[in-house]
Amino acid sequence: MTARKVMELTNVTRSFCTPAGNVEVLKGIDLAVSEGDFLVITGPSGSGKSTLLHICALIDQPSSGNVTMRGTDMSKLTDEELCRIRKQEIGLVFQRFCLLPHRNVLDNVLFRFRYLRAAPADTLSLAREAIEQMGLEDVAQRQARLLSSGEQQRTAIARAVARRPALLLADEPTGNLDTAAAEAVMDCFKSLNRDGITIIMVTHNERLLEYASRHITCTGGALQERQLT
Amino acid sequence: MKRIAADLWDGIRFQPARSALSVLAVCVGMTSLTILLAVMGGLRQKSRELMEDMGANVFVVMPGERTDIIHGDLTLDKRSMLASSLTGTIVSALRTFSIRVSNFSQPIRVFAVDENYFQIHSPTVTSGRNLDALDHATGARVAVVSDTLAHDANWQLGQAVYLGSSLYTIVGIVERPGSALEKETSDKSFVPDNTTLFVPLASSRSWMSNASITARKVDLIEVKCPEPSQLESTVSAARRLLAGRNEADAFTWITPASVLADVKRLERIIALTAGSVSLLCLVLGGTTLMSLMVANVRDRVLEIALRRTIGATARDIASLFLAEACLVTLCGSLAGLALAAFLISLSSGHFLLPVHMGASVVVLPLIVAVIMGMCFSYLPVRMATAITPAEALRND
Repeated sequence: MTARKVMELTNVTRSFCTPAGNVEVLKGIDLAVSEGDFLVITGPSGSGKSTLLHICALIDQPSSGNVTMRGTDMSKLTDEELCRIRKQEIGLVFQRFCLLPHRNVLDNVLFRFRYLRAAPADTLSLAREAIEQMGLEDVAQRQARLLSSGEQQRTAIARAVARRPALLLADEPTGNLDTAAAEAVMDCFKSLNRDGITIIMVTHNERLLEYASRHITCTGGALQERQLT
Repeated sequence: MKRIAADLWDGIRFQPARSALSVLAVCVGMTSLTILLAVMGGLRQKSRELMEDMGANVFVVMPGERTDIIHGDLTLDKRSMLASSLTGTIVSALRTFSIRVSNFSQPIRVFAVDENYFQIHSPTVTSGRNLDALDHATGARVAVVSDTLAHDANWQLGQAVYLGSSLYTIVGIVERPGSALEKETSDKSFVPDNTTLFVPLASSRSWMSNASITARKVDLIEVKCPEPSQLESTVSAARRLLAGRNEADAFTWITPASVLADVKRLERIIALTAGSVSLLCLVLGGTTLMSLMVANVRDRVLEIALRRTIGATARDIASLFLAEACLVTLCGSLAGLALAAFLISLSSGHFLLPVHMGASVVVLPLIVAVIMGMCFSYLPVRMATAITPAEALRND
């Protein structure tokens, strides 16, 4: 039985107006992401990886083409509806963590539920579970600004997955980390993927491909599926 | 509510110095606005007091202030003429003296009043009695003093005191004989205050020069009409009576309307001058708030992006920054209120204008603060809502 498609991009283009003229970053790409995938997208800087990730995260709109999530055409949704999908279905991890520096780890993870009209009753237990999964129990009450880079990134991941998203997107999550911290973070991703969370990760670091189930390269705005060795 | 409070607290401590500067900027504007409102409130209250103290049916004739004409004298004869001609009115005359007494280093003010004076003014007698008809008829050397003066001089009822070289007996003590006219008349010597002593006019000859005795000069004539509605016609009649040789122009006529007009004029001048300064302070405070908020939005682009990615709508972001602006302006407003109240209490008694901290003086700045917060945060809020998460992350 084939896995259900979580997200599908069809003939997607994205161009930006710059002083130098119109720059087409994504050139008619097609991408299908199925449930349980751990998709790693690599490519040089400026190739359009992050733009692709932003479109998948529904925080950017394609200039043309279709984006569907679980069969729903995203172009037909209003901003409010896109917000609702973002807060319920998608988790996003940034290269620079984007934590609230004065809040502690637990509050940062709980922040994931900030814009839910009716937060689930087990909000606190979900947050604690995510913290535990990331191995942050010992620093749960520590302010985010006092954490190491690795701990900050794991806090950001805990925040992203606390709501159990269908799709976890990560943009260079290990870009600011040393090798040991990067490995710890990737172990977390692997563990989450084993738990059934679909992951799309963008990175420069090809050594991280060992964690992936699929590998796509992005070059000059075009995608190419690679065979994992 | 807890989540909103946490968000606001995050916003405030994101850049504490910047938040403090914003509060300070608003505080300065609000202090000036509060003081202006307090002065305006004080003037309005003064107007009411004037009407109560003076009475809506009393007018005063005083020696003129014009320098381009020869002034006529106010005399007892003119008082009698007015009293006989203006039927139904009570006409009173008084003369003021500055007399040395043994207990005081400074001369005290003595009001030599006629028998009608206390029919127009009714101070509360706290002990003893008021001056009576017999005192006035016989020119008895008796005096009524204010409670403040009696306390300061340690004078008792029945005590004989030397006023200059004349020995007077204190027969009564009265409470608050002061008048709201005090600060409105240019010559304060005609207005009683808490340290004024009253004696019968007929007993004051010993302090008068020979010329004054001959002319039977007085310093003030007051006329009380039976009804406030008759005031205007009575003033006109009195003007006509004193119009011989254009003398009416040679006197100063103080009516409730003229006093109120003076207060209103003062109110307008203050509203224009101090109001302009207050407005300027408010605008400066608002623009400072706006510029600091713009800086805040620019510094918090990633936070805004984060909020958008976890599901915040543009309206959520706008609400956050609006609430922060309102909180800052409210804090600034409360600080401004406290500072204004402190400054007013500090300058109590030295301030040239009346002040009154009524409910409107407290509530209005708070309302203005919220409106100001909303108006001046419009641009930063627009900027914040225009930030798309993708663009914010791309430019990071």
